[in-house]
Amino acid sequence: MLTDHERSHLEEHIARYPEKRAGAIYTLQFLQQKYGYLPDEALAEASGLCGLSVTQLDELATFYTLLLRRPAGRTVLRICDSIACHLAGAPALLAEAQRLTGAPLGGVSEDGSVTVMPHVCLGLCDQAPAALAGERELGKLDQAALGKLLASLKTVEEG
Amino acid sequence: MGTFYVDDRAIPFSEGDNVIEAARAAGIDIPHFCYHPALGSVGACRLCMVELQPAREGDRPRSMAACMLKAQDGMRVSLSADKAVAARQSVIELVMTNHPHDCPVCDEAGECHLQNMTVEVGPGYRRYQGSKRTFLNQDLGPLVWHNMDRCITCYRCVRFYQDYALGTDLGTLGSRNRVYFGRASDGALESPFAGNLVEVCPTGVFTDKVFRRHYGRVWDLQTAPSVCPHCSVGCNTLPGARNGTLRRVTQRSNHRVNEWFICDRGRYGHRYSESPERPLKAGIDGREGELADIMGATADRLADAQGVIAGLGSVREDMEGNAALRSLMAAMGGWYSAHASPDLEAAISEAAAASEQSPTLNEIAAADALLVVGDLTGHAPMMDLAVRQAVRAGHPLILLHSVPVPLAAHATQTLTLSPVEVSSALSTLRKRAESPDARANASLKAVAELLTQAQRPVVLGVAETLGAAGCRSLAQLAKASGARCAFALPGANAFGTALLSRPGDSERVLRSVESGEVDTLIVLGSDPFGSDPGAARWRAVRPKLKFLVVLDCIATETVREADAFIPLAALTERAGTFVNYGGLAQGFGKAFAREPALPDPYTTISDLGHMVGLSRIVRNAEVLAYKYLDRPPVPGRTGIKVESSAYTHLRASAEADYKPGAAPTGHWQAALMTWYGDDPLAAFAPELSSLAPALAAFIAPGQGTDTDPPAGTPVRLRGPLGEIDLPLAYDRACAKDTLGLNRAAIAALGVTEGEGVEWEPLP
Amino acid sequence: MEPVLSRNFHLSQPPGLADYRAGGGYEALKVALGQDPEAMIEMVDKTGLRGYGGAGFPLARKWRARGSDAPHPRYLVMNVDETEPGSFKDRQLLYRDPHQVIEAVLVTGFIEQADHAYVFIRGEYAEGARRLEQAVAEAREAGLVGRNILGSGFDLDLDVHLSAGRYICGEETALLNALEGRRGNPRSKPPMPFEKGLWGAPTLVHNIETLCHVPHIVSRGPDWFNGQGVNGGHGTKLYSVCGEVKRPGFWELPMGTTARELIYEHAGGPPNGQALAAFLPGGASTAFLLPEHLDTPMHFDAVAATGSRFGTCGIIALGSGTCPLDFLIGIHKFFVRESCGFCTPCRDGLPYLHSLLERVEAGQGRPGDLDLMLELCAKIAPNSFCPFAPGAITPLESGLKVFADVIQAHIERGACPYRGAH
Repeated sequence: MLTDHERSHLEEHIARYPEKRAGAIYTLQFLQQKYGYLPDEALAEASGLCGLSVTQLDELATFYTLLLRRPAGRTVLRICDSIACHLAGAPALLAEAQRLTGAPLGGVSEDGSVTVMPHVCLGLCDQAPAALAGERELGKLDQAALGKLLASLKTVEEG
Repeated sequence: MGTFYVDDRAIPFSEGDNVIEAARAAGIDIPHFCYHPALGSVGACRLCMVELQPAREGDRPRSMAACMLKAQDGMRVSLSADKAVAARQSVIELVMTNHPHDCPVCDEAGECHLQNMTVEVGPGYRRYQGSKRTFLNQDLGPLVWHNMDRCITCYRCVRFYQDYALGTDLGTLGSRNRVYFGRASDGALESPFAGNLVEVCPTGVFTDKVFRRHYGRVWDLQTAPSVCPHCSVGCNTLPGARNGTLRRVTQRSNHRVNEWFICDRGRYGHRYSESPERPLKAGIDGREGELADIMGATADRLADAQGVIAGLGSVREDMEGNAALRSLMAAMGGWYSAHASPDLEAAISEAAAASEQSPTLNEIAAADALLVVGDLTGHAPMMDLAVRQAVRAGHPLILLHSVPVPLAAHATQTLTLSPVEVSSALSTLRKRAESPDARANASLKAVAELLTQAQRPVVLGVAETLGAAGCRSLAQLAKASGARCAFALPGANAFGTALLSRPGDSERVLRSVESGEVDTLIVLGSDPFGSDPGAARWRAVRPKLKFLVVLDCIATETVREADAFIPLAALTERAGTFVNYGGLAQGFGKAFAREPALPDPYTTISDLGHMVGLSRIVRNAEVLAYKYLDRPPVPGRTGIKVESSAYTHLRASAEADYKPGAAPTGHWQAALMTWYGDDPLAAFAPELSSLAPALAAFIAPGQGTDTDPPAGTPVRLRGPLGEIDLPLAYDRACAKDTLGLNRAAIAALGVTEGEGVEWEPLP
Repeated sequence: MEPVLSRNFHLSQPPGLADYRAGGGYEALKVALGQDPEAMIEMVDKTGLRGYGGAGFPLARKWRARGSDAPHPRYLVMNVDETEPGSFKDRQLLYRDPHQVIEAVLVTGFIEQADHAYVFIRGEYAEGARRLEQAVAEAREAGLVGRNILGSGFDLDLDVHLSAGRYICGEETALLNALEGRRGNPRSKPPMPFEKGLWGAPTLVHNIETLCHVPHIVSRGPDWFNGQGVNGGHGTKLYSVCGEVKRPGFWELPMGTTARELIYEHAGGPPNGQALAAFLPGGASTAFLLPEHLDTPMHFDAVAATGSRFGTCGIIALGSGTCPLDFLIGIHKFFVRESCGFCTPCRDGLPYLHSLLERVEAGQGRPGDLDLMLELCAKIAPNSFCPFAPGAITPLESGLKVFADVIQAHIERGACPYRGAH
């Protein structure tokens, strides 16, 4: 449940736009930050704030890559597999990530620490292979660095 | 205005036309999927590619989507150019990469636009050898079946559901070739117009879930042009039957009524005719028998009833049947009315009398300001859909209502008022429209101004809840504002029955039974001893009737009370005439016959008349039925408007029957709460009825001095003529002092809209 | 060459307001506020400045198309949705010098007499958005953003709008839909955004790099700007090279610097003894250029003359040791994933091509596959709704032609000639 403070923050942000629905993406990102992903309850809360139905919010949540409608690990690790990173070994990196986490791409590792997904170009082409761990940008992520990263993510706390 | 060329053929166009529209009007059907005349152009499918010849020397021709290309004078496009042909074939090839080979087992086959386009455009073979993307389907409720693998992603469904019908629970999910049209979660579609998905979808993604249970290929269906019997709009339909049973009803286009769509009540309400509860056997005094025998026995008893007989017709029965009953009564020295409730009779007369300039659905959609009073969605769903079009175009909608109504979500301004306050508001608005200095509060002033300043204002009301006084007020308000007005009337032929009524008919019939003067009653298609308006007074006089004859096609309470019962053909099993809210008489045709065949009321009543020795009623009935039409309407044609002389008759009836609004009689005022699937016939359609809202007595929260009793508390309601127990429910959209009650409760209590009801929690 | 856009890039943290001003920041704004917008449009016109987001539309022409009598409210949108593979220059501007970004918005906003500005930033650049918001707060407090800017009487407020992903949102009409809180499908044109954009109002959308030049042009003049270029180019450019080179990176250099200089001098050329097989000059959605094109000056006209496109000028290099088919699949799968799903040729055509490419790569190719792919390319690009599919088809079609023999070798051998049998 959103606190009153959180609710007023969102209302204030939404009010900056001429139409409420323009604040929907911000609202969904905020709720995702809070819950780790967007459960049905989050859409219901967003619905009252943005003036969109739950289905209309789901239209947005299922279109935009960064919004997640299924539970994710505490860190979402997005490994770029566009051309520069592809050439630098992204496919092998993604395979190795699945092996190390024991979960398929998009799934949650058994210890709940991480979800690994391929992602489109992150604008870090000069540091390929690149990745985003949550909002942290990582470059030159070779197999060794990946192993260290996944190990460090195990200790990251919720929230 | 101008001329452009398609493969050197000159095509005229009007300013703003797209090439596809103008070509279509000239008889050239450019292949398309996503374009739809009611939904407009979006340019998604790319099937309508034409080659645009360059305007300038030396430029190259360009491939353009005909649905997005505005026609210009002198423009030259080619359908037959190689690149255009190849482009269209490429689209077919691409949508068919994922399309399952379902035709032999798919409901849509035979009326599938994808099939038609694939055969017309080609190719007819698949060279793609990759995998097909597949989806899990959703349960969208009892009316619409979902199969997403067949989707060609034309977006028509969501453009209809969200953009056209303003629904919010069906949307476009996902992206790329995994776009998915569905809801956030399984569940019954909420829109009263969801069934139109079945029609707008060009493939078999959305199909008629009711039809599929007892399916027939479209080419095997027996059809006849018909008119919907479920409300006073009179949408044109096409019923489809097979092997003696009705399988489905779809829409049929008529620009004077419904151009493209029908509501779910019209599409799924027909199931009453296949209901296991449907009374198919004639009977008298508790024994069933052959129709001819029962008719004979009935006629014998009727022969003794000269002078002590009355007939009650119905707003949901055709002109011919009602006219035959009136003629029979006249010949037998008896009284006739089509209305069990004198209040309702007065309201219908008043409403019909004011409807000479009433707008069609298309004209409502083109309004630039709208005032709606009451639950339009529950009484005439397609009028609601027309109102939504005006709202989409950005025009203001003012809504006056007493109970929760779906249009409140789309109104620019909502006035939630008790029935008594609604009366008063209408009166104030009328005075204000007639005289700009008349006193009114700020919001009513604004409403009055909005209507007078608009170019094409429209005022819509619900006759049943306005009552005669409210209808008169609304009509006067419309006239003074320069607005056209229309009323949702309580039955497919309510306007028609008003043509057949004489002033005071309903009261006279009731009194004649109450006084004992009449002991024999013939009821055609009405339910005076059940839930029809006025039932409370009628229930009280049942013991005074020695012989009750009932003709109907559904198992009402009145049918159960009958001494003699004659089963009728359902509306799709016979031909007849309905007159809609706007005085448009339309003929409906007989789509099929049941085995054994059942009679229509006109024939039955005429036969009874014969058997009683009265043969001239047939001729009289015909004269009566078509009195105000210059000829009987033919099924499948656009319909015939009643002549002006009808309005003279209606105005006289209205004047004579007029009842001023009742003074408030109690703290809590009764208000009818209905929903889009609610009519006596559709109540027997199980799939549609399963969506009916829960039965309860609704009030707004927070009106008591103490805390509100919890929702669900059983309460006893007491009206002037009866009592009923219901659970209590809360809704903020109820007006203060207002009790939202369904039709059965209103009938049990014997109240009209706004009359006082007492209630208290049961111990 | 004196750094212009990148003058603060060497700092380990982006400069705050005080440091930015100390280096001459917001002087251009002062100059602009005292000038006639028409005069500044004329200045930019003289430079021929074109959009650096990929489309390359001349900025002055865009301004004049909207005109000075457009109704209000008028919106200015800065597009920082950079998702084109190979393009990472916009990130640098956002992350390393947010006040330069703000100044660009303000000066452009004044020229356009805009009422409100949005900076639309892709969701993956969240850290950059935070830096910008911090800088905006500083600027607002200093009276540089909001009402009566520097006492000029001109009002302009600025909102940072973070998106939630999707490459298509970089297309200006899809961006407008995304900003409005809708799915990011493109809109049909006409109407143009400068007629009906955000919420039906006149809107101009510009790439971040394009706008960052405007304050410099205004304060130092078009002649200075034009003089910064070489080989017929005007101004400076943030160039980048990535892919199979020793030192992928970005550099601000004179517009018109040759591909050879970029790939070999700055990026060190292909690694591990490889030769350069080919390169995409302008990001993933451009056609291949070959070693014979290395001396092409990298500016719009010269690149167009080769038959390819300048685009975002993010060069992607392919080394001679890498299978070109693998490279093509690496490019193509991006487009398959990022299709918005609106129109048939893109939504269903790109995956069809993908299935054929994968089949050939896996050694299951058939003799007609190359022709089939070229046939599909020819039907997809001209018939789609927006420029996304043409952008997807361009590198593929070009690659299928340039590397036709490699494709055929896959098919004939049933194996990748670069890797041997599977």
